[in-house]
Amino acid sequence: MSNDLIQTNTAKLTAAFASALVVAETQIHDDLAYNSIKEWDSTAHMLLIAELENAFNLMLDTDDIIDMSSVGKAKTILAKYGVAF
Amino acid sequence: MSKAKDRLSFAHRLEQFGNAIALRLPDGSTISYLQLAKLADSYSSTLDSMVPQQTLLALRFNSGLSAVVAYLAALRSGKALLVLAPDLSDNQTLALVERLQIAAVIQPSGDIQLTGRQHQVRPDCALLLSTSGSSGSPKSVMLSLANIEANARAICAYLPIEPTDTAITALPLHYSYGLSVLNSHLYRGASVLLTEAPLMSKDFWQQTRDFNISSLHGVPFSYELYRQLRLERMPRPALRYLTQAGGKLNSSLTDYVQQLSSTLQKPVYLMYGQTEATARIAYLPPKLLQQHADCIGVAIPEGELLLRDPVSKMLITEDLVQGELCYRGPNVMLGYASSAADLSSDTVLTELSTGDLAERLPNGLYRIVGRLSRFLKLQGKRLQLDHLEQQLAVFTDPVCCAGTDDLLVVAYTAQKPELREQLQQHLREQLQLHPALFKVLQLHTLPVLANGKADYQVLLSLAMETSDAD
Repeated sequence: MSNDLIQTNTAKLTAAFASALVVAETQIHDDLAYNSIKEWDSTAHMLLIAELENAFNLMLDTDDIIDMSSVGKAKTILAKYGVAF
Repeated sequence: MSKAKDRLSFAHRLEQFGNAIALRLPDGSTISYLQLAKLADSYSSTLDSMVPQQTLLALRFNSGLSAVVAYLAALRSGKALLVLAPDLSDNQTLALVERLQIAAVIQPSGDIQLTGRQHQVRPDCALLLSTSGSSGSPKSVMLSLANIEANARAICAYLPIEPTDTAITALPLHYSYGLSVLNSHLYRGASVLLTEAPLMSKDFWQQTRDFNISSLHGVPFSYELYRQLRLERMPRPALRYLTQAGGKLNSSLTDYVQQLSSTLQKPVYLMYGQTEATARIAYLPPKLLQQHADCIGVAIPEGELLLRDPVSKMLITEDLVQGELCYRGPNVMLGYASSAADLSSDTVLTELSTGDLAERLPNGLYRIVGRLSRFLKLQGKRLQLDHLEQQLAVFTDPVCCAGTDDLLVVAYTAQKPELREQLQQHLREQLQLHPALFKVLQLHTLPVLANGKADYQVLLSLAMETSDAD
């Protein structure tokens, strides 16, 4: 897997989070967790799932949607769908 | 306890269910009806020793055991209680304390903070609920014990709640719909799992499975989440039925709910209500879901729906004639309270004007066709648009608000670059709205009708044409 692709995927992921949570991209790091900031609530989570599904052109399983409890966890889950970080 | 007192409300009759489980906690512990009655009475004694009689208390109502005990303690011992969102800001709480002269604020932990204020509350006022969910609106609905009891009784008469059922706190308890789920289950001797886990979390869905949750309740937004989670694919054998209220479903969600019901082979109850009627007003019998999902259905037991001409207020008796939807029933509130003086009023409302325009079909079902008063229901939160315009006028004037139940539109004319950000920040932080739910537009002039009044329809179509500027 090329570094370029990984960089692109990371950028896409960061953009999806920033857009759904409406926070600056600099605030997006692996430890950022669901419900740890007020911006990441149920509404934002739902938009986030839609953004991620669009950005990576995939459809997440129910268990993965509710398991996506942090940015780091999102990467682990997306990796199962063949998205490299 | 005397017989007369037993009749007051389900909260007074907790003991009758003895060792049956009233509340379950996510850690697996349980509280029986007898234990709950004891906890409530012991908490009442604490309140009695600290707070003057017949004053108003406020509760930061989360979905924890201590808060539920405090709520039942207030009902059982006849103390008027205003319920608040647990995360209401200190500033908003203080403003309410001043405005309503609240004597004490109860924290979710049960801790009691005295305020030094006090005002005599009318003896028949048991509970005050906000009409707008979590925004800390100064306008509250005053409910009597009889109101709360009647609505729980009616709900138990049309929903298939069984004593063996366990509901889950999928909706906040400070919200009339969420509270009605708790009340109706306690009325029936069933149990409620008290969870703080958000709807969009692994914990929540694990709990629905582990605790054999028998029903799911949701506002339109909850059903958007169910759709995204593909609830129809989740095996939940204990789930027997679902309910929906808190605003009309849009057409794509209606399709989803119909599919969900037929895929799961489980009834979905579409319900209509207002906090002014304690919670529930009407429901659509679930066998009519596929044919008549555009209707609110029929009045709940003991209630009556009627239509009135919006201008003359004359009763409309013909089918298919539009009028303002009005409701009569034992669950209609005492009145509104927006100041301490209102708390000692002696008004009794017998008929509620809903502000919705409706018609009755020849088959007897009622259908909402529009709205007389200007409010939106965004994710179950009611926003009074005129009130919002007044709030936003602090930032800029003129300002105009319009919208649908999916989108709030705010338009202004002043050419100040920082204004847009200020308005967005207010909507996000004070009203807790996600930016996907609103659009802020800067226009040269605000659209007006020939009579000089704001043209909300034009504003709405302008907003629909405008793509997001940011």
